[in-house]
Amino acid sequence: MNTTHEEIALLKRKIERERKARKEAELLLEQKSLELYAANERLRERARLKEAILEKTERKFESIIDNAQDLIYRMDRNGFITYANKMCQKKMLYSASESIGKLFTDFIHPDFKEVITRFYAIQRKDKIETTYQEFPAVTKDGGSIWIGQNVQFIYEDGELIEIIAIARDLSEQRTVQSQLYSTTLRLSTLIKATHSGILVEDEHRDIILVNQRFCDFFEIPVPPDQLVGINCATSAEDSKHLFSEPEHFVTSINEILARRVPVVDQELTMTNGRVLERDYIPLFDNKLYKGHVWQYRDITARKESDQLLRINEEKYRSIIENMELGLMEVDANGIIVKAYDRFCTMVGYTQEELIGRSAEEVFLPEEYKEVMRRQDADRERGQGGVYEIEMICKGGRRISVLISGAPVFEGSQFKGTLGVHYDITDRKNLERDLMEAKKIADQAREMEKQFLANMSHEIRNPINAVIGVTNLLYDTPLDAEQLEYVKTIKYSSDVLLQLISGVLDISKIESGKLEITSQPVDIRALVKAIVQTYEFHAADRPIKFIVDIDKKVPQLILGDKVVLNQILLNLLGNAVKFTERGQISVAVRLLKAKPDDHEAKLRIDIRDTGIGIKKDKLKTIFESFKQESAETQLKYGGTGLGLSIVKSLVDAYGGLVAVVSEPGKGACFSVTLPFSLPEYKEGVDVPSATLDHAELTHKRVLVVEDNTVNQVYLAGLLKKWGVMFEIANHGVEALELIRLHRYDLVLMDIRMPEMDGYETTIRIRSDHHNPNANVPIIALTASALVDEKDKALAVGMNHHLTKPFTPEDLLGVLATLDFETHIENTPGGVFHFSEALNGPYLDELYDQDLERAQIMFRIFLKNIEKESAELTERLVARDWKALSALAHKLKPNFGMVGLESEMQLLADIEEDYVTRMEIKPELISKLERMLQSIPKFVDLLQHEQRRLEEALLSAEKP
Amino acid sequence: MKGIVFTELLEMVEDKYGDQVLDHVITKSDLPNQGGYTAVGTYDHDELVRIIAALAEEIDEEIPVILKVYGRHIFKVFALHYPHFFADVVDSFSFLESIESHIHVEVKKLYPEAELPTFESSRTSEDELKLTYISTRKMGDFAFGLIEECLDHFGDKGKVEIMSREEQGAKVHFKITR
Repeated sequence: MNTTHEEIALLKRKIERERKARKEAELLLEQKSLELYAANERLRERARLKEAILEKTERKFESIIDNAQDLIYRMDRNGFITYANKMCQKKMLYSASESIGKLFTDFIHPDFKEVITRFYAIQRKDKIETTYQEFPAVTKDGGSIWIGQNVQFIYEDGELIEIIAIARDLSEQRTVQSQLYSTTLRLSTLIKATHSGILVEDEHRDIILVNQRFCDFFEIPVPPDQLVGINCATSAEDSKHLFSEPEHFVTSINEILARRVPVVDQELTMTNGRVLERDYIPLFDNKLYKGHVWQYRDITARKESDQLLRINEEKYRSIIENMELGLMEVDANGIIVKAYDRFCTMVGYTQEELIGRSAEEVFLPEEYKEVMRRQDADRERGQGGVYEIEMICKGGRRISVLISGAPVFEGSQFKGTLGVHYDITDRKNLERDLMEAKKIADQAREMEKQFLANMSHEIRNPINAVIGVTNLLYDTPLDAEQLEYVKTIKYSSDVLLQLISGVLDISKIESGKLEITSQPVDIRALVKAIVQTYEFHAADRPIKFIVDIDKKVPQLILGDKVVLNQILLNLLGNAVKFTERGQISVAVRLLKAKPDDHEAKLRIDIRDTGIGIKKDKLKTIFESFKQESAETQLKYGGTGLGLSIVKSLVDAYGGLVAVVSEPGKGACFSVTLPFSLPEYKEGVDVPSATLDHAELTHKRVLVVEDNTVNQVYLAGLLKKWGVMFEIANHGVEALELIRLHRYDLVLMDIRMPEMDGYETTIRIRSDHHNPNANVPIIALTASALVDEKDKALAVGMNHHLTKPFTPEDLLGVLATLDFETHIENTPGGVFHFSEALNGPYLDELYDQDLERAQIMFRIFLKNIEKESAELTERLVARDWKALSALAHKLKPNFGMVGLESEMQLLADIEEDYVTRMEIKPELISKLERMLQSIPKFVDLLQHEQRRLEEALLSAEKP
Repeated sequence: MKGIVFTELLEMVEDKYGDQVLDHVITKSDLPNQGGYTAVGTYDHDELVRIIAALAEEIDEEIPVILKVYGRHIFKVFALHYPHFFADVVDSFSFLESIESHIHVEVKKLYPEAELPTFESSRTSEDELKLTYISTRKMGDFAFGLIEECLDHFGDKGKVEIMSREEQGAKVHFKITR
């Protein structure tokens, strides 16, 4: 019950809800309807408004289209005109009603109709929206106008509904004008920019165009733009003052204007010195005169350079012509194009005779064709050249010419050759004459030399005799007066012999007959022997002779003993001659000898304390017959050949000779000579001093000599030395004696009757049954000639001696032979250096020159403290460069006192630095040890020095 | 709030729980028009809240669950009534993305007075969409139901998660993966 009641109430409520909802919905709907109506009304009003605006716009567009400058028309889809604007009517002359309804193609010019129709058919077929096309259209009056039209096809839903065309009359004048305007603009810009002065006038002579350049030329102070339109009728008159010929300027303009014919390249000179070039070009339009153009160009610079070119050409041509140089030009084929006056004179032809002819055919001898062909080839390659040929002149005469040929090019095109010819015929002839003269002179000189040589040779023998006998005379008892006479004879004959020998030597050397031979030479012995000779000569003067031979100089060298001898004799003779007092020293040094090198150089310095040589004479001192001055000649005599001989000999030897001297301070001559070392080892005992004649007493000598004077001289000497001897008058006698006795020595003259010395020697050596096949044979030659000496050695003689020889000379030669003798040359005991100081080395170094040794020791001891301090300092500073330099400096000092290993250490340090810019640590530590032991060395050296002093004292005592 | 939300809710309650439950809910909610809603009208949001609260009490269910269920329900109604919103949409993500840019714009044309929530969306990858619900009505769970039903509607098998809530539910961040 309750439930039913409840249910009813529930349903009632539900119905009530539905009713309320419906009422509310109805209310809302009514509201919405009203709103909708209002909105509708508003919309309608708005549409009306828009329509009105649209209509107005359409009318406006229509008026625009009607008033447009273009032809605008519309067609239906088949091309029938539906609308045409006013411009269409105006241009085509058809009224709107006449054109509407007509087919568009009816208006196309018949010639174009087909093409244009096809064009639009394609547009339609391909559905192209817009196209542009030009064609002539036919107007109502039968005329035609070119039009260009845009055609637009209007589609709606893919369907063509309408065609709109907008066309323009292309023959419109405005288009033409604008084209003209741009053309004019282009041209006037061009004209303004040009370097020429331009003036364009119309047929009334009003200015159309003028540029700044023109105003500059004519000094017009107005901008060119402002001149346009001005009349030029009086302009010539106004500007005539600018020209050198003012009246001519005016009349020429008037004439040109009257004739109206183009005139180009007229030259006008201005008062300011400039030159203008003028063109006149009349302008015609279909034969109608429309004005003209004036063009002015400044050609001053060109004129000036042309002028300069002409002057230069004139100048050089006249110079060349005046220099007696003949100019000729040929073309590329060798045909003469131009021959200048001087050339014509040279060859004897006139210019007319030459031009057009082949230069080769006219002038060239057969034998020069090849030369010419090579030259021609060079020219074509653009190369100039100088060459000598002969040319055939008119009449067959030949001249020698020096030709300088230059190619002529135009661009890269070879155009020919310009030849400058210089006549050298006279010079050639002179050359020939000179050659001839020289040949004759040479022959004469040769004959003179030959004569001198022969003369000298002939004079030598008698002088030898005089000297020989004089030497013998010395050994006889003479009173004071006689001795004086003998001295005079001796001096005079010596000078005479020297002179003769010198002349002979020079002539031989100069004729190239001197040959340098190579044989083992003991240079020490050689030097000492020569020094000894001069010591003997100068015994009356207070001169001390010093010989200082580097211990490195090998015992034997390969050299030419004769030449060496001669060089040293001359130089030492010279020193002795000019030295009154003081000392003369000979120092021999070894240069640049590598340990295993067979080539080396010797340097021999001969120093004196004589009168010296003036600086300006030093250069000529080595020339023949040149003494320092006439005074020298007077005071000292001599031939003036000595140094010349030295120079020639040294040259022949491939060496160098130099002199350093100052007047009053003596002179030093230095000779540097190359030599090689003999193949065998050093140490071969070679006697190094002259023999004492006492050693000869038990010897037996054979003298082979035909000259009685020489026989007497030799016999005297040998007798004096207590030597047994026999004399043979010639070779035949000698051979007999040889078989009978055994000899220790043979002295052999060369030139003898019956059998000469060469043959005799050959026979002695080849006869093995005689006991003397190996006897030493000494050649006695009257000539110092090398070939004679060489020949003597070649046939088997052991030595040679040039006559005249002194007793010492003979002893010197004997010493070089294998005589088992040795002579100590230090009297009063021999000093030996202490073993602690490398004694043998010092013995050899000082060679008993104890005084020098003592001096060296003293100097060393004086400096050693300072020097070791310096060494230490550089060592500490590790300044290797300075250390190396100091080592170099001190090295010899250590050597001089026999500290040889220390010297070697210093040498190693120096060498290490020089080669590696560094010094090995082991050398450094060695040096440190050495420096520590310096006090020990000092003790040792002081002891040695005391020994030296004692030895010197005891030597002086006796 | 649009009337359709009310009419559809009441119809759903009636269909699911019978007229008695509906009657109780309406009576309990003390509504100004005693539940006489029409779909084309506009009503205060507060009334809806009252209805939902009453329903929750009546059937003893959590409010979020009811809102979610109702969200699912009303999506089906929308899909049926407004097919043109679904015409050019191919999947759930594009639909969700189009709410703000397209659907709400159209709704505004029809009902200028309507107050609509904002849905900010950003596609983080091909299969992940982040969606932020912003509304003073704080009906994130209602939106939850709508989104889930949207996925089902387009046959997209996916998952909807609430990542965070801000401002007492005025801003809810969803992550939708498929």
